[in-house]
Parts: sequence; C-alpha cells; structure tokens
Amino acid sequence: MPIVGVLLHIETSQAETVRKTLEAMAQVEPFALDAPGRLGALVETDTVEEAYRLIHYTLHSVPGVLSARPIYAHVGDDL
Amino acid sequence: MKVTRREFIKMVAIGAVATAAGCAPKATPTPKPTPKGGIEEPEKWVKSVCRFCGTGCGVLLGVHKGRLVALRGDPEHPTTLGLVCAKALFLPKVVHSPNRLRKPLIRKNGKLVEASWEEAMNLVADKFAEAIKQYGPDSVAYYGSGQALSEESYLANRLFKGGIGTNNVEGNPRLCMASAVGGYVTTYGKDEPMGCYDDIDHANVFFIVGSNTAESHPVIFDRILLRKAKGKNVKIILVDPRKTPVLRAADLHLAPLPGYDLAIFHAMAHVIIKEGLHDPEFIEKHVVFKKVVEGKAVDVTFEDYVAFLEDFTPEKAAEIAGVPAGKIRLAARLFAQGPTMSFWTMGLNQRSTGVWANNLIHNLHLITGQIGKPGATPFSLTGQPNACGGVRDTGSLSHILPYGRVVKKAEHREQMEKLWGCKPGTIKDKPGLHTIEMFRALAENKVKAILILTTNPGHSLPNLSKYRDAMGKPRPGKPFVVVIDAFPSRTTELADVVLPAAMWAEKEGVYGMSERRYQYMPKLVEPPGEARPDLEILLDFAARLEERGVVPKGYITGKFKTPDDVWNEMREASRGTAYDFTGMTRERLKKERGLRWPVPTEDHPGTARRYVKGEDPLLDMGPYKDDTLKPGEIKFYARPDGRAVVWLRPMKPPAEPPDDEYPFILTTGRVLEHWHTGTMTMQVPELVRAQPEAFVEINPGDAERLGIKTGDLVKIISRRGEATIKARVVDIPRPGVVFVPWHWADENSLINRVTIDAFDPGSKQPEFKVCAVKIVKVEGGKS
Repeated sequence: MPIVGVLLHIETSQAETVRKTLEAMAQVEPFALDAPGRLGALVETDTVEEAYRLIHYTLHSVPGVLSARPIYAHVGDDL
Repeated sequence: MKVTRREFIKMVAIGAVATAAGCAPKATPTPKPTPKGGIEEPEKWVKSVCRFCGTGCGVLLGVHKGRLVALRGDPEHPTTLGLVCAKALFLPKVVHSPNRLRKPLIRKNGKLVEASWEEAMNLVADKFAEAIKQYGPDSVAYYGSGQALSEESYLANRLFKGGIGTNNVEGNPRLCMASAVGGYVTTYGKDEPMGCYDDIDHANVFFIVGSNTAESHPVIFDRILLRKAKGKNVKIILVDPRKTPVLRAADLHLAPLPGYDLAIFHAMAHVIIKEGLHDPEFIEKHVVFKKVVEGKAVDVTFEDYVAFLEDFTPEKAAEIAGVPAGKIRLAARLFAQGPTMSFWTMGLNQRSTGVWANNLIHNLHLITGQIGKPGATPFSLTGQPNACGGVRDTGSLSHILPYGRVVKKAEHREQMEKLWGCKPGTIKDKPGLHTIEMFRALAENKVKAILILTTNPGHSLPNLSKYRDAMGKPRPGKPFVVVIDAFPSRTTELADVVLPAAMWAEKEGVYGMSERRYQYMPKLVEPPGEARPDLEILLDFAARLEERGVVPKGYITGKFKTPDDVWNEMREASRGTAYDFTGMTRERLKKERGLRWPVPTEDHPGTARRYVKGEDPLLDMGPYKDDTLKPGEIKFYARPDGRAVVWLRPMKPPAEPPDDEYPFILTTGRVLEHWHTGTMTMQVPELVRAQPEAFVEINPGDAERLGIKTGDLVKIISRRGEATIKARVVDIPRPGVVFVPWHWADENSLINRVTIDAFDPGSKQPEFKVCAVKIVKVEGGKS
C-alpha cells in the first residue's frame, strides 16, 4: 500500500489557504517546509491508483497549487 | 521510543521531500487514520535512472525478493535533486507486467507462434544474409530507438555501417529530435546543448516554446518553479497554440497558429535590434550571418540581417501568426533582459521548418549575447531517455557516424574504419535511407529485411496506414520484418519474427540525457521467461551473420562479449572529438551520479558549459585548444571560424495549411499519464483508468459552430485517413486548432493515420504538429 511523499509548489500568497485545504483531506498530511512557495505532504491511500488520482487531480485542482510531485513513493504490496 | 515500520517510511518520505525542496521540514504532520494494508520494506535501495523522458532523473529503486517494490527520487542526484514525476512511480509495475513478451515468436501460416531462440535467430540471420548476398548491403536496414541503451545503439550502428556495409541505420529520434540536431549543427557546428540544468537556477527569463514542460518534463518544470519562487522578478514566456498547464505559472502567453511561429521569432529579433537591446560586442566577436542562395550558404552582413528583418514587424508577424503585436514586443524585451534560458521540444522540432525554427531561437540568443553564461542558454529538451547519448551521439542515424562525424567526410569514415577494423571503403560515402525513405523503400520491397529495436513504428509513423501496409501487408516479395521488444505492440503484430527483450532494470548500460550527462544503470532483477538483453541479441545476430559470411569473421565476436567491452570502444571513438568522454570509465559511472561530457581525462569532473574558457576542458587541450582566450570567454570551436551563425531564414508555411475543405489544423501531443505509444504505460491499470481513451480537444467557439459537445463522437479526417474519437470541448487549443494525444493503439484512435509524412528537407523530421483536417460529428455517436 502506497505512502507517497509529495512536494508542492504553491503561490506564496495562498500558502495558508492551501495548507488548510490539504489538512481537511482524509488521506493527506501536509507539512510545512522551511522554504517559500513550497509545501510538503504525505499521501497514504489503499491503492496506487488512489494516490495517483489524489496527487494529479485533486491536489492540482486546489487553488494556489502550481504543481504537486511525488518525491518518494513506497508502493509495497500494491504491486 | 519505538518506531513502527509505517512511521519509519513516513519519516523517510518527509526527509526525501525536504531534501528535494532543499530545506528542512518545519514540523512533522498530524497523523491521519491509517488505511488497510501492509508495508514491505525493500531489502536494498540502488541508484539508477528513470526509464521515461530525456530529463534523466536520478532514482533509487527498492528491490525486495527479486522484484522492484519501491521507487524514490535520488536526493543525491546533482541535477534532478530527488524530484521524480508520477509515471516513474509505476515503473516497477511496468517491469513486472504479466503482458511481457517471454518467448521468441515466428510467423507461420500467417500467425505468430512460439519458437526457440535457436530457430528464431537462425531464421533472422538466414533472411538477412540471403538479402545481402542477393541484393547487396543496402537491401537491409536497422531502425532503432532513443530508448535503447547507448551500447546497444553503438553496436547496431557498428554492425550495419562497418560490418554489413550499409548506412541504412535509423532510429525514432528522427521523429522527435532531428530538427534540434539540425539547429545545433547548422548554428554551432556540432550537436547537443552547450548549457545545462544548473542554468535554471540563474535564469531570470524562461522562453518555453512548443513544450508542455509541466506534463512532459515535469521535473524540469518544477526546477523552473523553484527558481521562480526563489528569484526576484523571474518571468516565464510561453509560446504554444494550447493553454497547457505551463500557463499556470507563465507571465506571458503567445498562442500562434501551429507552423507560423517563425514570423514571431523574426519579429522579436526586429524589436530587439530596433530598440537597441542587442549586444553589438558579442555579435562582433562571436557571430557570422548567413543565408542560403540557390542551395548554398553565403555570408551576409549584420546590416543585411537588419534589412531582412524589416519584413517582420510585430504587426506583420501578428497577421501571419495570429498573436497580438504588443505581446511580441513584450516577449522581445523580456528575452533581451535575461539571463534567458529557452526550452523547446516537439512543437518546434516536428515541423517541415523544424531546423529553421530552431535556428531562429538560436538567433535570439546570439544577437542578445544570451549564451554561454549562467542562466543564458538555448536548451532543447528531449522526449526519450537516450535519444541524445544513444542515437545522436553514437551516430546511429543514416547520415552520421559516432561523436560528431558524418558519413560524407572521407576523414571521418577513415577514422571509424580504422577504429572498427574495417576494410577501407567499407563505410559508404552517402547517407543511407532516412526514416520516411526507409519505410517507403519497404513499401516498394526495395529494403528486403529490417531489424526494428525497442520502438513501435507501426503506431508512431505519420501517414501510418501506408507504412503499416509496408511492414505487414502480405504480398509477393514482402520484406522480412524482425522486431525486438519487451511488449506486444502495433509493430510486433506486423512482424515475421518477434524477439523478447529484457528491459530497464533487467540489464545494465548507459543512458545519456538532455544535458550531456551519461548515467549508468545497473541490472537489478531478472528478465521474464526467455527474454534477453538487446545487446546479447545483437551479439548473437552478429555472430550468425559472421558465420554466414556477410560480416567479416571476428568483426564483432572477436571484440565484444559484454556492455563494458562496447563502452570502452565508445570512449575511444570519442577521443579527440568535441564529445571527448575518454575519462568516463565504467567504474566512475557506477560510482557517480552521471557525468557531463566533455570529460577528456579520468580526473575531470565533467563540463557544465561548453565553449566557455575555464569551463570547457577542450579549450585547454587537444585539437580545440586556444590559449588566447581569457576565462569566461566564448569560442564556438566546433565551427571552423569559431563563430556561431545567425541564419536569415524566410517565413515558410507548413506543408499542408488549412483550406476550405480541411479547415482545421490538427496538432498531436501527449498527456501526463501516458508515454509515447503506450506500450509501457498501457500496462498499468491505474494509468489506463486515469486516461482510458483518446480524445480530441476542440475550442468552445469551434465546437458550437459544429454543434459538438463534450463526449460526442467525432471523425477527424485528413487527406490520408481518419480517426474516430470523443470530443472534449475545452478552452485549451486556440480557435481553428484541434489537439489529439497519440498514445492509444486501438483502430479508431490511431491518430497517425491522419498525420502527414511531409518532412523538413534538412532534418528529414516529419511534420506531426501540423496538418489540415475536417471535423465531422458522428450522428448518434454519443458516449
């Protein structure tokens, strides 16, 4: 089952709104990074597909998110 | 404190993200309820390189019980910094797909049936030997790939050009990168970018042309975003007929009619010079001006160039390209401000004016002096992981030889014949058949046997129906088609013999990506069934051709047993050339995260910027040495006069502009979820479900006039063929333009049945990006 570390590039002016939106998502754990315009998130889902959809559709559709990239993907026994 | 395995993996993930971001996490996240399922920690992590595009991302692969189970960005990778994109996430699943080819297949009574390697290889060797003996060396051909390993492409090139004696050696980079090669060679004398990804961190202006960087090279895009977040007043200019996701971060968007952007680039030059934003000192020292008169390049002056540009006012360019003149002026001013880094891919290259379009980007850099210094460089992005290192650099196309040599030059042929140990005169002095010619020759039964390796021309060629018939239509004298691949494809179904290949992570070798960095990939897992590494198959093939007397005895078998053997000869072939990587030993590559050539000695750390004194070692040693230069000074040493060329290229429309009968321009491209012909990504159910079928994007205004809504089935019809797919009415393509991604292989979706096989006369690259079509709604064809 996948655990994915995601790096988000965000509009600096919307950092707080983005963080709150992500915080409200069940499978996403945002964490602050000591760098402007960037935010980290852990995505933990039942399947790779869910993780994929979450990162590429849901996160990208959050206002203020410029990009969301999986940096670390542990896919384990989902293979 | 006891840490569970899940918590440990989360900590690792957080650390990886922070490393990629170049900072520390401020705080750990608030834990959420854990979904069902278990965690399997890999036995080992090994550094490797991603299998997809030409970015060349460093990855760490988790191996457990002989299988790949995890992947992460390599935080120690010097240029991709731990970043990877989503497709890479699924690579383990691609490798372990149940659909892999496992046994050789031979066509018997019209059907492909399983055979032994012995039977298949003997049949292949017999057919090739028979053709060569009866019709001569030029009756056979090789069609390779920018996905093959460098050693594989080099060996195939060596076998065909120096062993069999034919220059009929081609590869799919002809379809994607040939115009970029033509641009670099005609402007600077040699192929490949002079800059590197480090330049992203210094650029203040990004000029992105015909490249959906956000989806096709996402890691590069992230580095651009990183620069934009860190730098002050960093601007992104996008030139693209579609509103791609790059637009999210762009400051200025110019959306030209596909095929008409030459006018924009000239108009930008016009503005730059009119407003005194050019760099006269740089031009005086480093640039010459040329134009073509009656087929020959002649020198002209800067004043001639200025006079030539008088025809390209922003207002006139606006009329030609459909972009407001004000935007062209703004783009010109930003470009000249710099430091400016240009990125481009297929939107520029896949055109009948591809080389010219490339030249005009270089012109902008040269007249402004935006080149050869941090952040200022023209950089062609690459679509395949090894188009650069594997095909372009090894000379595995019909007109070139390894490391910047060309078949037309006697001196270059002699150098290679000596190194390869061929009889003088073996390498032909004329280019072989380029890709379109090669498949036309197949259609005419003139090429009698072809070996296709790691590529899928039965899906990827333009005007496809014609060339599918060439490969597969039963007829007297039909050529013998051999395909080496890891998956079944629209090409394997046409083949007479299919040989199952090991793929990425199942074999070792080198990939060379867009910034001249060569990177080593280890073998980590065993291939399925009887699949074998391509190099092993090529060595076996060569041995059988030697036995049959059509290749000199020992020409291949006497010299090569392993990829290392091939690599060592490749290093030697580069010695004294502008590509010199003799210092890149196998041992160094195994230890380091790749090296950027030139690397002329074993203690050289690699070269960030070519042609710059103090950075490029070739200005300090060997044939290009120049002690008159001061550190930081530039010399375009690959040209005889050491100067780059600003070309006066006329405006030329695409080969098939729209007209009353075919009023739309079709442009093809990619989506994030799939890669090329989908042979790999279509193995992944998650990716298939995310993007299950082809679609055509139609601008809302056009759709309204045609009475088309999202989900309607439409026919896209050209003079060559048609495709029937669903419409997506979206404000993404500009009016008059429709866009179709080309990944899907089903009969209705094969968009290359529609595209045109007109090609650039210089690069021979087909014009996938522009052809005229009509759109017809299929009545009752609603999803």
